[in-house]
Amino acid sequence: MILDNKDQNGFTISTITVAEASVRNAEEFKQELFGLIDTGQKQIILNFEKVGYIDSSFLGSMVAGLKHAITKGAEIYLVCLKSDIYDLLTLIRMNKVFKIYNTPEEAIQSI
Amino acid sequence: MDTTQQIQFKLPADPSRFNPLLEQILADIDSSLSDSPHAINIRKKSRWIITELITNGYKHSGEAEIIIRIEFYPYGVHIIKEDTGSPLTLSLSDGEVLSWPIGHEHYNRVVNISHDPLNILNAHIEPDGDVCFIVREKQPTDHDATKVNEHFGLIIIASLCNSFKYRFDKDEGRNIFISIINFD
Repeated sequence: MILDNKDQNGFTISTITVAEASVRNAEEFKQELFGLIDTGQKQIILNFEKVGYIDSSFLGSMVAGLKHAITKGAEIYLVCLKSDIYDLLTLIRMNKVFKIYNTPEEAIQSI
Repeated sequence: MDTTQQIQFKLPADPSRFNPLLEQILADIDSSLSDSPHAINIRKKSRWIITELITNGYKHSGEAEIIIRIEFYPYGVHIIKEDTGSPLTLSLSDGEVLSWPIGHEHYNRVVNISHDPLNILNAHIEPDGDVCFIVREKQPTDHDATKVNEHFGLIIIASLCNSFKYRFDKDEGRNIFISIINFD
């Protein structure tokens, strides 16, 4: 399992359990994220606290998940991004479509 | 301009053995730039660029040998990937497909590879047939995530570099990707 899921106040906090989010686990991550959305989770917080690196394949899966969430009326939030990863997301402008917060609590309070 | 130093690595055929090699490449970059104030920035960018080049290499090079070469210059660093796999094929956003080697009639063209609400990825085919990849921000930004492209490899490399080019060496059948990071 790539995602470790916990429910908190109506939110699903999904911690990505790998340090290297890459082509090797991007498809598994996508399937698990789609599964969460398809089972009716509407507020999904993806926690990156354990992720030290991310590649283009994993980013592709994140965007695929975001698109799927939108079609199902769900929201995805990104939290606890390391500064290098945040910088990369900003560089390729993903910060324009993902809701990014420092912590899960911040994401929850934003609603 | 002459290089001040260069290091070269042959990639393992088994992609699962790539990570230890990447760490070795980065350690050698650190060592080569140890006295430079740009070392941290170059290392960070190099990791992403090399990973994306290699991920792409494993996808498209088949059994061909892949070489990564890092060249150090007084003004910056060149990260070069070479292989003898199939030459580049670009599927353009309008449906046209360009495969290398391309005819002279395509020289000096600027073609669009992809565009989405956030980024525009173009390729400038230069007078010598080299291709320069250029990313531009889409302005104004459309925040419709459902239209965002899911392919980021070329966008990441082109965004991190000051210059990112593809060259096909017809004589030797070699694909050469050259990314240049200047010391800014």
